[in-house]
Amino acid sequence: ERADRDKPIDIDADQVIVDDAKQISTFTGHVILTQGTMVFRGDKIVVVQDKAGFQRGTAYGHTASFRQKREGLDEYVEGFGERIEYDTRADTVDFYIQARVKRAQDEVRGEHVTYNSKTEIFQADSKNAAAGTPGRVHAVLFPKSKEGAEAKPAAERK
Amino acid sequence: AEALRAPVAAESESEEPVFVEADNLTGDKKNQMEATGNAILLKSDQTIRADRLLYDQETADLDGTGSVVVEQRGSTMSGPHLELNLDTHAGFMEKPVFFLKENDGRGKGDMLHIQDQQHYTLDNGTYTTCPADREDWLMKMSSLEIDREAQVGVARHAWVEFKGVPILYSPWMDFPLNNRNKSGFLSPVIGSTTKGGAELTVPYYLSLAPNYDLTLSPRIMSKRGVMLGNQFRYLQPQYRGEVNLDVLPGDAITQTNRTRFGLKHDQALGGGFSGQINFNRVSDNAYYRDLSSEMSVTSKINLLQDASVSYGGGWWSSTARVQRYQTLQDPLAPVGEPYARLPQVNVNAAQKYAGANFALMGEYVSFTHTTAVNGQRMVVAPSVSVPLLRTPGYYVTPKFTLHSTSYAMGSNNTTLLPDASRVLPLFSLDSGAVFERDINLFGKGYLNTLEPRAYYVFVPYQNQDKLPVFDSAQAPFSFVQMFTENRFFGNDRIGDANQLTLAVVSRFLGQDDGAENLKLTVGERFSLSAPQVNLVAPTTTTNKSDILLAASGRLNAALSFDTELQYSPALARIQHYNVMARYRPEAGKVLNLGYRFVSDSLGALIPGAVTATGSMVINGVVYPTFGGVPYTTLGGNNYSVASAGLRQINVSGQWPLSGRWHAVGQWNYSYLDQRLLSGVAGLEYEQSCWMLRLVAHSFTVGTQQTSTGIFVQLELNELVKVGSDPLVLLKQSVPGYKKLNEKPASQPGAVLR
Amino acid sequence: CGFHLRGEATMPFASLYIEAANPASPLIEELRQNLLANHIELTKSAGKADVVLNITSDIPEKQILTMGSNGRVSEFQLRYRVSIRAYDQEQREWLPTDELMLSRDYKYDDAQILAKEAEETLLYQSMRSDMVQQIVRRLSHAKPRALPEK
Repeated sequence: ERADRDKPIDIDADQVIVDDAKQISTFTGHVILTQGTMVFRGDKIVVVQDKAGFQRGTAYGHTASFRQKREGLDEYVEGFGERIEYDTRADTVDFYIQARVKRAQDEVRGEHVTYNSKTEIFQADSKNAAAGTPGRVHAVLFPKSKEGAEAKPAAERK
Repeated sequence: AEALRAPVAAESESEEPVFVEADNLTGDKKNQMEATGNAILLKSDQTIRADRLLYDQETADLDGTGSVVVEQRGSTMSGPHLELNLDTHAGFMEKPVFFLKENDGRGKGDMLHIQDQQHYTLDNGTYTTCPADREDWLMKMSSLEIDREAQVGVARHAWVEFKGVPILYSPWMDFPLNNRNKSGFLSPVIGSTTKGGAELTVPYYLSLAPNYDLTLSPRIMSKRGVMLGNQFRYLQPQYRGEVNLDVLPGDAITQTNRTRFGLKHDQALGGGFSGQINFNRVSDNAYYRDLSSEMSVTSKINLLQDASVSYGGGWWSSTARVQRYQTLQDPLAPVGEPYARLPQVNVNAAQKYAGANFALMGEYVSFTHTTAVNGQRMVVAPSVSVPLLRTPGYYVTPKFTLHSTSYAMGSNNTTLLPDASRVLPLFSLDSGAVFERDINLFGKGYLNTLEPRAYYVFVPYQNQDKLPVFDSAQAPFSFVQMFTENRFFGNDRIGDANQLTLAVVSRFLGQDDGAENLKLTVGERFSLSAPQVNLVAPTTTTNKSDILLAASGRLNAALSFDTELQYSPALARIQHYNVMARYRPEAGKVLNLGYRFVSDSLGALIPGAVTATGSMVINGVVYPTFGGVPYTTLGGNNYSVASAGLRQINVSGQWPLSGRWHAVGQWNYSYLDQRLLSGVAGLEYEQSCWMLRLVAHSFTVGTQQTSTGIFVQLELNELVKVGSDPLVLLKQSVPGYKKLNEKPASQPGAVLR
Repeated sequence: CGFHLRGEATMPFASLYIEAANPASPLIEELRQNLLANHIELTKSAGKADVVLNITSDIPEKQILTMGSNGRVSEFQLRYRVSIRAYDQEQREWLPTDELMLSRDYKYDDAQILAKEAEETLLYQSMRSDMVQQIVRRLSHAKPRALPEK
């Protein structure tokens, strides 16, 4: 949610290498980066800070993951991919290589998925799909009942 | 009926997930999803493709643009733009092109309104069942409603064009989507017959309700005038039936009104009771000969008028019936009218008890006739049969019946027959065995059986000359009759008998499927004492036993044959034989060859020396006569001749010629009368979505009277048949005939339509 | 010459369900009696039976066989067409769809139409029991064919 922007960033990792000159810090080994409700996990996360104080992080992992609560909804958005790039200036999170984004029960898969945490719009494409893969995007969408409530709990659905 | 149960709680349709695949996909906060780059959406059994798909998860509205294709169970709809709600399945498609899998029907139009998955309406569209590259015929209409549930299409302001030439217009017309239902517009029937001249029938089908329909068929005949045919059909869970009323007010040739009335009604009355009515009546004797061109109709002499109620109670059953016939006399060949049975009540019961089968046959009939003697007859025939030995290998079953009959004579008793009665015991001993062995013939394994059977019947003689003959006739000697106790059909005569019937059946059954590939049968009946009760003038040969031989089989999938021969050792001649062979390698190819020979049937033996005093022609055969009686000499004896028998060949077939032409034909020639009894010559031209049939048929209608019918028919597959329909004739005269453009019925239509 | 008395007809299944297009047809009753005599259990529902025998069509027909020169029928042919198919719970086919056809000819004479009615009944009964024999023979030779691979 939007409040995350003002929250402190806490990073937990096995090691860290900080390069003050270039303002680059590289965390490796079970890295977990949390800021408010937003959580990044991965084998390695590289964080770069620009002069204006905005940060760009890149998480690598067999499947690096991202999770954030939606604005005003008791619902989370989760994303997975071999490489996840996060840009605080643009508020976008890009998932690459077997990217997968889940929102409630819906799920979108493709080679590249972009999620804008401010507008909560996600886009998936397979432009830079590796050669040989069909380069297609797939989604499984569950109908939303009219009252806008999330998928009814299973018990109610006879 | 079973109590209604709530449907199984499968995930209700609207809960089912939607699967999307595309090059790019964008989802926003308000659950709107846009897929671009040959997007594909799958939901339950529906697949929707388009360049761009916009899907709203909340409202389930889908908007597809750019070569949209909706595919469902083989049928497709495609167009530039589609709006559809995936829950209600309602929506529309612009400039649709559709294909219906049921009958390969195709069409396009301005707009397709989709009410739900089974119901669409097409505006200003065209429809055909022809393939895209060969649109030989096309139906244009202002609107077309497709109902895939009832499998019917309804077109308004419909023009049918055949190769660009408009051949049919109708303001309203419905047609079947599968070939099970009757189409609304039954297409005009053009034909000509020698009796009626050129004629045109324009039938019109009115579906009053899903289970009532009415077909009106005005028929204009050049020689006779205008006739109106009406057929009303009704179908209800408990009863169903059909009423036919054809009226020709003022036949130009006979100056009379000619009518036909037919009622067929079946009803389940509940509690094991059921009823039926089968009443047929025509205004005059020559009705069918003058107004019909179907051999099976013109040959009708006795029209059944029958109504009955029956009860089936498991081990016993009973039927009460009133029945008479309207006899259509042909002045050239008058025939005796049958008795009316007003009423007839019969009861049959059978029960197993202590290893024996007890049965009772009871019957009361009141026979009435305009001229012959009337009377009532009561028959009670209890019987018991005891299967002494009952193993799969052999059996011995004695049976004892006590047949008691009593008569009460009525009017027209000119010969003063007494109210006689008759009680006769019938005893029979049926025994037989089944031997089997496995053998190999021509490399195929067979189970070969040898089934000898001995059937002894003893019935004491009782003079029955004083008894009337209401429904009895002497039974011809046959494989079926030789194992029955009475030599007569009906109950007026019980033949005295002291006879032993011996028969052997040998079957060759395929080891793989048990199919009967060959069956050989031989049988002979030995009368240990000469039977005395006869209805046919007795001759020394009447009750001598004949030998019956029969062979039939399906040698392989294509070749089958059936032959039978009856030889009379007393007359040292063949009484009758027939040979039938069929070669049917595949559907649409069949050849039938049949030859039937029946020797002249003999009357009484003429004692003493006989010299011809003249001659007489019977069925084209010249017989010498002695005192006006035609006779023939056999084995030194002279017998009067009742009929000249029969020598007929019947060849028929259906075979493809070159290109798309098929030939179909029949040739039924009587050598005795040197006359073609029935000849069919036809050509069928088969195209991918239509067929042309040209058939000529000439057949005997009465003595020295033949009728020739020409049939010309254009059938637009799955839509309509235009012209006179030869299919009934072809199916009757060419066994194994296949309607070439017949589509396997996709769904058995439960409703009448 | 290798002939031996026929032994007990061993059926390749113990229980059967008869699914008939026209369950009230007399053929079904006679078939049931024959199968019961062959120690086959006839189940009430298809689910419980080892094999389901589906009698898809059961059509008696009457056709003109020969015509006299007076346009009258001299011989009728009665035909009896029954098509059967047998399968089991796993939809394996024991008997592929096949049509059995029998026919009996008889001389016809309009003057004796009442007697001819009795003859017709006798001929239909004879064809029915012959048909039952053939169906039982087919069933005794039935074997499950492997499932067509999906």
